Amino acid sequence: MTDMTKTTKETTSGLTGDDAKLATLLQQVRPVPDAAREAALLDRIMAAADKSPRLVVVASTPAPAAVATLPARPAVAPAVSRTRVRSDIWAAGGLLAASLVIGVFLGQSTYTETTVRRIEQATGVMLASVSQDFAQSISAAEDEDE
Amino acid sequence: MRVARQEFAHQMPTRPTAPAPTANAPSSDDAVWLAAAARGDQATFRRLVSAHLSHAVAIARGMLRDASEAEDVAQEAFLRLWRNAGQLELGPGGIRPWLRRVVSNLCIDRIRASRNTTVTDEVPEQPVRASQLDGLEDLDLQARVRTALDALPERQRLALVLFHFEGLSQIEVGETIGVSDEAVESLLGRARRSLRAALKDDWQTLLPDRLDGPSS
Repeated sequence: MTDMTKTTKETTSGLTGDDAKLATLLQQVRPVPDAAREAALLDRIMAAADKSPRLVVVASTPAPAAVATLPARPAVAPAVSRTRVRSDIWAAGGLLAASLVIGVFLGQSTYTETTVRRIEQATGVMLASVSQDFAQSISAAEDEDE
Repeated sequence: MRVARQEFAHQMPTRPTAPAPTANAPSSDDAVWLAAAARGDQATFRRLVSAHLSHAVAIARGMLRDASEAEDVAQEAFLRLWRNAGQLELGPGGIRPWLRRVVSNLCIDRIRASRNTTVTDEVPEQPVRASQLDGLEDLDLQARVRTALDALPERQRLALVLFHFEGLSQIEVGETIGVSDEAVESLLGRARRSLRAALKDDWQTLLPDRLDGPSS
């Protein structure tokens, strides 16, 4: 502490008047070190340090041989993630919904009707009346049998 | 590559000790000792603590009225040093700047915590050594100075303790508190004014025959 006292005098040497007076006063109320208490404290600190967990920096070492020779795990198929299953379900649902919308659109529109007429004109076969004619012919045949 | 690993000190194998330091350690030895402590060398850590313990206790004693509490603070600071020895990077000042900061912060934490605690019993005063009374009129005056010190805001008190008790320069005080040199000067000025105001009844008769220069 001798060096400390010298430094204290140096740092406070520029003070004048009341500040210098105060510095002198503070020097006199400054706590005095107690060697016996500090020796006991030192032992206490070391005892506490002995029981205290701590971070230690250690040099890296090669992995133990036992770890290196462990048998390789059997290959396992990767599990399908929940995200992927969820996306598949949404894709299927979307496809069905789109089919439904297209079907409704085609049913409502006149596109199919005009297309069927064109085919009838081109081929000479009346597609729209085939099923009706067929049903009527069967009905007539039955009547003749009776 | 180096890795940090959680281990228990008492489980560490015995390692060769660092060169034996002297009682008053220069800061250049701190790095060597700290490296040894980081490897788990308890004997060297004990020397490191021994070299800086007085400094840590003195700061804590200046900040805290209770000597036992001050010792607890010093112990906690050195335990932190022991736990984190491998992670600390010392500057040219050695271990002391770090130690001062930790002790100061722990003291301020305790002072703030004590404000929120209801005191039910009077803490017994520590016995005062006769050497402390040299130059003082009586014990009562010393107690009044101590009370005036304790009434200061923490940072003002810390600046005063570091500057007047420990003899640090304003720059060193600023590094410890984390403020500029100018801010330290302001803290010291306010602390001195507060002390003078608190001791105004004693000021004119305060050791007139032992002080040089007129009182302004």
